[in-house]
Amino acid sequence: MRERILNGIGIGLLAICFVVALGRILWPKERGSTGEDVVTIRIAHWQLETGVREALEAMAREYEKLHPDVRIQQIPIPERIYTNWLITQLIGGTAPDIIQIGIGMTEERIARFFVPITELVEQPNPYNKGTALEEVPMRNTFFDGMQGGYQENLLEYYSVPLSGTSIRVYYNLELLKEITGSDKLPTSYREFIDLCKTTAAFAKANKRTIVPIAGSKYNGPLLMSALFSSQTQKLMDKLSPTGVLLSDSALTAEWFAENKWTPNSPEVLSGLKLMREVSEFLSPGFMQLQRDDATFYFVQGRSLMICSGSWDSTSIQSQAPFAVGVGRIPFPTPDDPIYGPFTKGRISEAGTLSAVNFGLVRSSANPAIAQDFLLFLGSQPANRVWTNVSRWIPSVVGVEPHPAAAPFQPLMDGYAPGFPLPNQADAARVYNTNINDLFGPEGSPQKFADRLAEGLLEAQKSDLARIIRSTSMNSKRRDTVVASLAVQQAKDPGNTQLAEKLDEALQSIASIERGYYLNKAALRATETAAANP
Amino acid sequence: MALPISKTKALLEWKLYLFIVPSMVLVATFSYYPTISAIYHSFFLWGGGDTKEFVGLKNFTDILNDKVFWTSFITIGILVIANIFRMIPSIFLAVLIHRLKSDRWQYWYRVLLVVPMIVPGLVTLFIWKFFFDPNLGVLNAALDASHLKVMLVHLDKFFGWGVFFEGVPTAWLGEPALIIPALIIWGFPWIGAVGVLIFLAGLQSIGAEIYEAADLDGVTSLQKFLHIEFPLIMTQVRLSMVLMLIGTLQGYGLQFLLLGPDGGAGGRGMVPGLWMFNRAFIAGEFGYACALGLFLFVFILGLTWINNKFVKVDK
Repeated sequence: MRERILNGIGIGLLAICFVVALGRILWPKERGSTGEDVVTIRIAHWQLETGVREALEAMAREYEKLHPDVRIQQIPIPERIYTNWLITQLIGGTAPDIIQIGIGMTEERIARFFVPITELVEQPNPYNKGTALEEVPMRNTFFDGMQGGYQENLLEYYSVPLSGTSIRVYYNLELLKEITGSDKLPTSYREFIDLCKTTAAFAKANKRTIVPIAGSKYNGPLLMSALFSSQTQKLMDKLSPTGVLLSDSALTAEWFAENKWTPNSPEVLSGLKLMREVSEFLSPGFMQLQRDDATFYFVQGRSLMICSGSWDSTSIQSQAPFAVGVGRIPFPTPDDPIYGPFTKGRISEAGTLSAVNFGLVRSSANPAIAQDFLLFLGSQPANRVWTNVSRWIPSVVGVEPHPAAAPFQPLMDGYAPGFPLPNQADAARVYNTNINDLFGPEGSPQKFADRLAEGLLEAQKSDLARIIRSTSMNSKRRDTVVASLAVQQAKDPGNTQLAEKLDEALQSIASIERGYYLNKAALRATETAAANP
Repeated sequence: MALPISKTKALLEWKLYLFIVPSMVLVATFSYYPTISAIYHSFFLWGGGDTKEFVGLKNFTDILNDKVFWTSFITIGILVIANIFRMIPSIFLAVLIHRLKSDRWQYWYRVLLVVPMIVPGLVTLFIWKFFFDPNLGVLNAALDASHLKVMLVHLDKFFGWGVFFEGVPTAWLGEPALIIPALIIWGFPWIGAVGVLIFLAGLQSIGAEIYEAADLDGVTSLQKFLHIEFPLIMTQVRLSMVLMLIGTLQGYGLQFLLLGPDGGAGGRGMVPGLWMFNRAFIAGEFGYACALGLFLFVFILGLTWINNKFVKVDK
């Protein structure tokens, strides 16, 4: 009898759990749902930094005030799993209405899963009504002409950016004063290195566990790749007779295959030497540490500096129990005795694009409402809420950054950066798996350069082949659209809208094919170089 | 075992077969469909989107020339051998618990073993990642406190390893030569709750009369283990070995979390599963990753067959 009762209780509990779980799946609890007429728009992103979720919540509440029949639900996803989550959701057709575009996104995926918003951004944003931007086409209301939301090869705008970004060095001002007796930040590379040496000597003399710069596999390369590209500025000018200002991975690969630069070029070796020099002042073993570890070091007062993006400002400022100073990355100047010969000077941030881009997913159940919310996100009033709550840099013209975000506004003076070391999938693997030969206790620039020289050509070959395959597939997808538009236009030659669409599609194909042939030329050069080592 | 029934009776009772339909639908949807899809896509150049190009056996022939994939088998081979030795503490603990005279204490030890299973595996991995931290980690702190670091530095100078230096914290996950040792050290003292419970179940099936006979013959504790207990739990050992083999060959979560998708410094932590993940989610070569997955499946199947065939159980 007792056993039967216990079994009954067990089965009863199981049944209750099942019913509750089923209910939670079939009728998910939505905040403030008031009836069947309420539409929920879901927005997903990976920005888990302090302030972002709060800012998006504040913007959502503002929108809900204007549209009481809409609820905005935020879905924050950790950056580490974002790609896997994104691909699964998109392919499975269960993606939220609006998704942050960036990590794990290829052109093919953007074209397949997202709605182009070109026509929309050519019109004034209705949510800018009553502001100075009322009559201005939406794309011109962003500080970069909305380039951050533009897909060059697809010739379409796909996303609305919320923020600007920049890389800065953060300083523990209390510690700086304790070490140097002043809170003056270094302004040149030499001053920066001197400060690192002083800090290391201070830690040793006082038996304190302080490192000059908190490092991780995320923060270290941010600083070092910026410094590296200062050493390839003049080389890039020399290699690019057409005066290409921004580095292009296909061109860099082609120049490499043609032996116009090698890991043993004096400029590249100098860049590696610079990286090695800085690495000696980063946390020991920093390449095995994560971004959170480095932030932890810094806010715990275990390091004097940390290099990170403007996106970490709110997190750092809110966690640090000391005053935080913010300074520009100290690049070597042309008069630097060691690194001066290869640099033109400090790197300008004029080419910085707007970021934190949100795109509209094709499978959205409520595309009109989702699109309307996207317009709201890109408006001046919403961007004001964004900067004031998140303390990130605004992306819309006329929005004053929050005072805490002011030091992160892109600085326009300086020169274009040189090319970075190749960073496509396989090239990045060669770089990452050999980097200990540059930074390790027994590493050296020459040792690392030799490793790169061994593996880079093959890696570039497979990277280029992959890009070509993907570009070719993209082009084939577009061929069908062009053929269809051409047939329609032949039947209706007077239809100007159709003619415009066909023209746009042809331009898009031309752009994709340009990329295809650039990469093809680079691959041909790479294969030739591999065949004649 | 189900008794055979006549065809006429089976057809007459056809409605009963409907009871297994829900299970079969779920198995087909979540197990067979992805497998069939992976087989299908392994013959394509496929980036995960809707466009793909049929390439026949190219993905499979590419595997033959994939140096990283083949090198990853060296790492996995070392890890499999290490994992065989890592089973020893579990067997040892199972024997100790089994020999406890008090049933109550046996019960409590079993409970104590199961309790840590509540902690998600990911949390355990993060804790271990923190242990390996060069500056704040427990491992370096223990080596420093016990002065073992000094000994390691001297040994390093003698053998020329180039990994332990005086005054420089050891980067366990940043030095190529230390990555495999770190992957082996992980989980110390290597007592797996599931393993212990499986071995314990095997030990408990040994009859008391065997122990009584052994006692009468004056058999020592060690002899009991070597000649009675160990041979009689070989079925469980074999099961654990198969599970371990499959888990080690398929798994990449540990390496991914500790070292990242490239397998860490020098790529020393690269294992076949991680390479499959790398090709799919880093390089975007989903078709090739499917082919790698199929290859791994056949390889694991072969190893499992060899294990079952040659690890004999004589009762």
